[in-house]
Amino acid sequence: MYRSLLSAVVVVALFAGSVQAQTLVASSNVIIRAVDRTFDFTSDTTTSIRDSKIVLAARDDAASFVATQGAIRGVQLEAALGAIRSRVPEAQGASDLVLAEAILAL
Amino acid sequence: MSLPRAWLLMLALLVSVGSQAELRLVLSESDLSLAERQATQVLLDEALQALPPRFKQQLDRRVKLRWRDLPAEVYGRAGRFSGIELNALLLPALTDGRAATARTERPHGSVRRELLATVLHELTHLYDRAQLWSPAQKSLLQHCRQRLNSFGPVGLPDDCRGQTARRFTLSDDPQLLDLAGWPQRVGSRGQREAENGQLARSPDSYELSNPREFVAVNMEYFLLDPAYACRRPSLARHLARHFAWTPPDQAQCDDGHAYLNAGRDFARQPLGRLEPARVYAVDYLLAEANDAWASRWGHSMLRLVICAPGRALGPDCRLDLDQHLVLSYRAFVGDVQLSSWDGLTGAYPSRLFVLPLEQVIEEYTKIELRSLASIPLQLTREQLENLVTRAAEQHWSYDGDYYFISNNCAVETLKLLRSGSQHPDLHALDSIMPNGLLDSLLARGLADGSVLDDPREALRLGYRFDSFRERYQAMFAVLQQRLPIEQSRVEDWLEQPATARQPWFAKADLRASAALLLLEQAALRRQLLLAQEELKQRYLSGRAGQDASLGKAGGALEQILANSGFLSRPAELLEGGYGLPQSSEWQRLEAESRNRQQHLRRLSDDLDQEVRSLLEPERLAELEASENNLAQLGAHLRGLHKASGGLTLP
Repeated sequence: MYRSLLSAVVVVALFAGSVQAQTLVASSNVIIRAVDRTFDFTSDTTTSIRDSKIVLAARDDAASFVATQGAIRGVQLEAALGAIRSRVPEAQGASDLVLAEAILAL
Repeated sequence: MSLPRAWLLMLALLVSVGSQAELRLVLSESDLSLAERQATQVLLDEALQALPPRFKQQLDRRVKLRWRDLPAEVYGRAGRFSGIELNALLLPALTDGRAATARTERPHGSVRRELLATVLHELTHLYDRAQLWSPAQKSLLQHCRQRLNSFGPVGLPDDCRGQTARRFTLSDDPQLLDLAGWPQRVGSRGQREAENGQLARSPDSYELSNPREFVAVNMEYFLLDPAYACRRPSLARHLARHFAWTPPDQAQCDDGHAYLNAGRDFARQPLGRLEPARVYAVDYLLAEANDAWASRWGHSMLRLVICAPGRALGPDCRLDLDQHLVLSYRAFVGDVQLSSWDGLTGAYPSRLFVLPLEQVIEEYTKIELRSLASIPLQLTREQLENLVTRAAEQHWSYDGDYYFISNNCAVETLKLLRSGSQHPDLHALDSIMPNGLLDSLLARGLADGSVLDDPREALRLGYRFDSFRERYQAMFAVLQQRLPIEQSRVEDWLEQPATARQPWFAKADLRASAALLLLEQAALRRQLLLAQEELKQRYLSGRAGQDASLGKAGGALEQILANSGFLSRPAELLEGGYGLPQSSEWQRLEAESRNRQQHLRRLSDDLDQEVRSLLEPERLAELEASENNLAQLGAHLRGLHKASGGLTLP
């Protein structure tokens, strides 16, 4: 009885921590967003590829790809490469690295 | 004719009489006027007309109906022997036709419709109590009772869970209870929750009193409201399957379901349309546990792989990342301060948030430094679309209580999967841990874990989103290789002041600059987290000590938290109507959500203006130096790119 009660308390404490972390995400994000000025939100209706959401979201993946010479290849880069090739004719023949560098230079 | 043949004929006659017999409604009063009798008879005929054939055939009996003196607020009631009794106060209005135009506050509209609904409601109770199971169901129930008697509750097969003590035709059916909002309580062999969390957008809160009333109330709307199948599609499908019948004159439903996007971009209209037909796959999305003691069980979510407009359903949709949505059950905490005690006792509402995938990736992999695994669920097309629809229903109706242990994200996600897909293998699955739930899904072949076998492919195709902790390590390794830096650990590099890192930029080639860009972001995020923690501490202690300097920012933050509630409880934007909003409600929904979002945007602009002035001067200086570093690196990268004659995107 005593032992099971004690372990219940331990489990409760651990869970409380886990959900606390989870639920505080919302308020933390509000604060981080307020302090951070590097967030840029883009519109859905843009026509230029360099302003498209899917390309801008790929910037970190592009940096990882360029820095590691292709060893790290994330899905956001993969999505952006597809979007660029389908919309920019001169990009169709370009290598992945050339396009990743172009994204990085935006 | 020989004697045996005559017998056979007799028998055939008896059988045919038996099969033609069906429900009859009989007015059992003699002291009514002719007009009263006629008006009542028309009502009863209409009620019979509205019922499904199976209902009338199976409930093969004579049901008496009479007008009785009842309390004014009651339309009617039914007893096992007394039959149906309607409130005599309403008889004059029915007789002279006023009842057809007298409006009521309830969704049926007029007093006459309410009377008709009452007759159907009470008949449903009789049908429900009569244990009118199909032969297949009867043999299942018998089989399950036998199994229970011989093997006990532990040895019970999965499909017998909830079937060993059935007493009603409809209202204790396990699938119905799942849809009605009395889900299985976790870890209790199918025992049902006592409370119903589907509180919002109910047509009649009487349905929440118990499953019997739920069935009776829902039959009213199933039979009388042509839009019922649009507003409560999962229940309409369940009832239509039970009766093997669909009511005539069904309304045409909209193509998609309205939902509110709880993304942090307050500049954007949160109202969207979720079309099950455009969802290619549903993944179980697990934010993996990391070393931190606070998140060792992970977080369960579902990812909807939605195809871009114009793209046919297929694997290519997996790369339409900007279209994908994440369904995440979270406790809604409308305050900066979170109490563990309140979380344990269920004081926080548990709600279904709909978030853009890209935000979820960023929050977990870049801010919390946790990886995500996205494992496709093995569902048929029908199960998948029903699951998506069910999620929309929950988004509009569910407002449960979050319990850290017994009703957390894993439990909620499992309940949604079970009630939405109605996959038989989910029926008896129990788990309270997010990672445990994934293991169970994998073990039963409900999720396809093979997508993770090749880690590189998994990363490239979005089955795995790596934690940026790993990326920062990799970037630091590149840096060490290409620049003669002294530090041997990435932490040491990031802990330097921004001004100490800055001189290296000019010496960096393209690869090193790319690595530096990610590392500078890491440094900035680190500063942001520190700033946030300081502000939170100051705010929480200042609130107690009445620190005036925090006034405006604190007020804005609290209001943002409090006012963002509608994003996870969208029902509060609408008045009237029930279930999923229909096109007639769209305009109001659009206007209301835009207003609320603009208010949030003004508050967040206020907070943006105030918040930096609250930071400690050293913190602010470091933050600004970090931002300056990022700007310089960007310019450096563009310079290198231009000098090398790289491709420029239009």
